[in-house]
Amino acid sequence: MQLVSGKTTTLPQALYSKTAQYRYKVFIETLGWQLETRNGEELDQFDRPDTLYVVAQDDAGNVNGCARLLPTNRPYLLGEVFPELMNGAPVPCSEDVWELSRFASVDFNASTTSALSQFSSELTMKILHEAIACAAAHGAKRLITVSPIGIERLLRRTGVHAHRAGPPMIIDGHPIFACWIELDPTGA
Amino acid sequence: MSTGYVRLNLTDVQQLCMLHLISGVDEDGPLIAQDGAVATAITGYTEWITDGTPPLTIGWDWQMLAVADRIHPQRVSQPRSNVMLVEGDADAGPERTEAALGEHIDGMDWQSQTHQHILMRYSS
Repeated sequence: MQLVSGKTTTLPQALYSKTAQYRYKVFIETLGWQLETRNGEELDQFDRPDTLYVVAQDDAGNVNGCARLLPTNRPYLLGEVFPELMNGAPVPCSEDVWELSRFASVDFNASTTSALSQFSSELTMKILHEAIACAAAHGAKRLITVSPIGIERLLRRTGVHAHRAGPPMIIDGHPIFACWIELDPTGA
Repeated sequence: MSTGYVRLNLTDVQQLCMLHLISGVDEDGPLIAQDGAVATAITGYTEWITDGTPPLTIGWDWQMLAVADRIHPQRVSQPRSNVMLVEGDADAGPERTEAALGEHIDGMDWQSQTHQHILMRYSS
């Protein structure tokens, strides 16, 4: 497995396109999310030149995981679309708080993994830790994420210190929430 | 910057009045082992909130177990929340907070509403 990280402008164009196609397969075809798409690719207004990505590939070059990172002092998903998930608190706006979104680690080519699962354990852990390291290298001290509540279990299992920013909202029958991820293990 | 926690002392935690928000069954599909065995445990989550300001949010995992000829959800994870327990003037930390919340949950009858919600949600 290979992990690649970089901004839109530094990732190879072919890999960027494969990642957008992988996101389409995960979030549109598998999870049934109602998202903006074009030509079999899932991309939105937050996929900008300065957006940071972590992409995992198997030995054959197939994308089998991804994560998207955005600084909160520029437009980002929680701030623009889901501010009510902050439980009345102001949305983060700081160069040292980054948002993690479009996190997935479905390995469609692995025979032992359920394609219905958004996550496979070892791969998930590697991508998550790489995303945290990547964000920290760009100045992040905390991450915030908007996710289905299932990601909270995952974060706990991987030993990441995470806690809720507020109650879940029910969207299409499924609870989503905002979750803080503390990069400093001693952080409250 | 706000940490996002709602800070409560132990007495506050012990007096929490929680309202059921949603419960669900894990939908990842059966876990099929390499030898063909299928895991049959029914597991899921339940979410509860308070109606105060700011609202508290607490969720945990359960597993359906047969108890005295009845199927009964049992808590199988530590609570996940936006609560931080305060002892004296200091944060008690995630582990002590989870323990205090867990004790409070185990004193509640959360099973009835969770079970009823699950039956209604998945019956159609």
